[in-house]
Amino acid sequence: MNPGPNIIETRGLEKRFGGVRAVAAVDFALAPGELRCLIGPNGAGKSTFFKLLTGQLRPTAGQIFLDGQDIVGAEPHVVGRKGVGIKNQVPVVMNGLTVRENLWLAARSRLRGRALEDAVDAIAARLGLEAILPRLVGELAHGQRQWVEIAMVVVCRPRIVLLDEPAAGMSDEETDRTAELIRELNRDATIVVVEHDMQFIRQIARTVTVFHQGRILIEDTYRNVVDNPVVRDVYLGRGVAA
Amino acid sequence: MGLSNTIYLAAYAIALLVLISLGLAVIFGMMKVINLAHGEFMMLGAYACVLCVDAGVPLWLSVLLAALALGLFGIVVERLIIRFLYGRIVDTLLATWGLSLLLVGGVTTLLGPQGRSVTTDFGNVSIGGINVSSYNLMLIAVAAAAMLVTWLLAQFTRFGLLVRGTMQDPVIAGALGVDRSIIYMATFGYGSALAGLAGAVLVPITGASPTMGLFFVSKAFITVIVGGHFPLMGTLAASSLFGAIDGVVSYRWSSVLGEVSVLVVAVVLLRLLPLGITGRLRRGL
Amino acid sequence: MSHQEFASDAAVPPSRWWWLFVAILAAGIALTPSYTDAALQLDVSVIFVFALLALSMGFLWGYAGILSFGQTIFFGLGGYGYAVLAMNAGTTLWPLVAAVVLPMLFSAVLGYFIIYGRISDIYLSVITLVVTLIFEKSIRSTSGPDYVIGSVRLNGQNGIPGIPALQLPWDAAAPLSFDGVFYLAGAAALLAYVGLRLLLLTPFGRILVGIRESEKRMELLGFDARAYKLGAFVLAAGIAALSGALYAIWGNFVSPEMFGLNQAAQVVIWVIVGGRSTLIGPIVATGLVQYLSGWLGTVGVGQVTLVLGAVLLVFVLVFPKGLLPTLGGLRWPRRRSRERRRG
Repeated sequence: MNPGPNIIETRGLEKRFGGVRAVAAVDFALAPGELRCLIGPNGAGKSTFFKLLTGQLRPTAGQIFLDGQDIVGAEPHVVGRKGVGIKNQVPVVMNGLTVRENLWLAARSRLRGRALEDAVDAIAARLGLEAILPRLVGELAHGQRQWVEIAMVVVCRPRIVLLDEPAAGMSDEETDRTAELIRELNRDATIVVVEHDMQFIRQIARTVTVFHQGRILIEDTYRNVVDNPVVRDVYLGRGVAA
Repeated sequence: MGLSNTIYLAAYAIALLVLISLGLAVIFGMMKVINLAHGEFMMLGAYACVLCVDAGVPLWLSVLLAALALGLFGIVVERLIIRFLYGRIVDTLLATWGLSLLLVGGVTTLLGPQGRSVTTDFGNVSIGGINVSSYNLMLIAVAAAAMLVTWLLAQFTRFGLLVRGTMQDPVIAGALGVDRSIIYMATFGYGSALAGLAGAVLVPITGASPTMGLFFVSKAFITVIVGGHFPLMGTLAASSLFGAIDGVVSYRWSSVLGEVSVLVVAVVLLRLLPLGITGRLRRGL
Repeated sequence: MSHQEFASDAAVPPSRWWWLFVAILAAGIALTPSYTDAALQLDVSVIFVFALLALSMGFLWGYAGILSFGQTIFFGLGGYGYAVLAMNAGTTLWPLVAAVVLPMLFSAVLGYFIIYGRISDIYLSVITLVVTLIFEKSIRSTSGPDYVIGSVRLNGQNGIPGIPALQLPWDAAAPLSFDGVFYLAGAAALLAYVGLRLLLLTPFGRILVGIRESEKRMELLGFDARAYKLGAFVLAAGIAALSGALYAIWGNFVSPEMFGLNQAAQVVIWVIVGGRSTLIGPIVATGLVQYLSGWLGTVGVGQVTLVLGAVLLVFVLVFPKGLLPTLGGLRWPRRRSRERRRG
């Protein structure tokens, strides 16, 4: 049992797929109320790391502490119940149902009755989804489906929000809206964002964690990370040992 | 039960499972398709064998002809039905089930519900202090041969290489110019031939009847599912396990109880290894 | 991208036209015995019984997304359960209840191992088929005087004849008449239909449909998908068992055919023909298929299997969404857009 103050902590976390170590020996700590950014080239293990945190994948080795409790092996719905919400890289939503029904189901995980209906209306208004409420999610454009998933994650005010590429495919105006939303959410929740868009990260980042080949390369403030030549090499693909 | 007897019974039970499951496993390993008509392919193989024997063809040749005939039949089925359902696993399941019913009904209608059989002049042999039917030994040998031939074909022929490559990564194989459609067709045909072989080999023991497939198919399904996606290793591993269990339980109590125990063990095993015994292995066949 | 074969507007309360439709059906069931002869009544009664079975499958597959080949297991258990209990006990009311409850308990155990065992969808389907085969084989092999429960012989291949008719609780001397069986079966089918349709409006129903659409997302939201799927599995088993018990009451006879592959195939065909996107589809298809097979006349068992297999093949290849949704395809988009504006 970890007596520390961190809301999420991993020790020696590892995930192998066959011979590939997608995540290797990751020691990660997240304080309550933090807004952390994860960056790194494609295939660095960021999305896999997220899936380990939500219980979608089971680690090959290591521990994951949520509020000091080891959650390795816990069923995904148990982790969800503990207040972890995730917006995936590729939206995982109910494609055959309407936007309204998706939001209703998301809110239903915590709320009932009048509060439930109000929360659905509120989140739809807040994120500008009112017009598409009666549409089938599967028929929406990718960007809209992303927003639906974000709305579903956010409607219940989870304590921990994991966002995997929230700004992908968005216009500048939408990106600003997303950054503002994230800052707003951060008032009540701990947030981890995986992103590639450095402009976007600049708008929201305090601490940035850089992943490379499944490991954490560097963890520092935005400025230091961006100025770091090793990080630049990693992104430009100049072979760097992790 | 003496040691020799136990070894013999175990070997026979395992070999029987290998024989009836290998064809299904090859198709499943390649196309992720559970051919619910597998039992009926065996049944057709049995009938083909009976027809040949009745026409005067020696048994060993009849068995080979039956396998060949079912190989061709399998190719036809793949082209006419399976091909249109690539990727639609549930629909493939339902279509093969429809085919299964069609074949059972068709054979019952055309050839009557009564079984047919062939007489053989295989006698008993004395080995290691026990008296066993030499045909049963033949069956064990055929099962081993089927595994060996499959392995040789996969490891040492060019076609086998293409098959293994497609099995491991169909997308890359396609990108490298492999015509997946041909591979699937050939694999389905080969798996069907193995099913036909199994049915034909079983004729002297069980005879041929329209519903004989149903008798064997439960165990074949379970063996293949628990075996996982590597046809040879998976079938061998699962057959060993279930052959032992079914052999003991059927001998001691009843055949139905044997099936139930196999099912129970399978469900428990799948809980621990959801992808089957060979599911986690990276390389293998 | 969206799953067109499933209804997306199930959570919308049914329109008043639907309620009118239900009222008409109810009236029809109430009035028919006065105007038709016994033979037709008998045929329609069994269609009601089978409609119940079709509903159980249509619900489990269409709304919970679980393809189980094993609904006939519970159909058979319901029938045999009623037979064995009623003939042993001498009364019929609590055996009817038990004939529904006991298979549900069994389904809870079977479902628990399969669903909580996280067995994948395809394996689940194959395993339910295997269990069906095992049951059929077991029951067929129960010939001989050793296979008795209480004082009732299971009789293997021959089945159990002479099952007592249901006794009315307010008049023990009067067994249920032809008319009574008709009313009972009709009422059961109608209530199940209405009940299931309304269930989709409840949180349980909506969550179940959500799980069907994306089990992963629902779990990430914190729903234990396994519990809901097990609930649906047990409910469907109960409806199938009720169907089986009513079948025994209707025909005064049960046989291993109830567990058989032909029966299992028929259930799948009713839902494939009727389409998984509605509850009424499988019911209509049941009527259609039963009527057509009656029209084919008495044929050998082999021919029945042959036709069932051919129908299944043709439908999977040509009408994967079902006959009725395909035919109604012209009407659907208009109806859906009307509901979209409302929803």
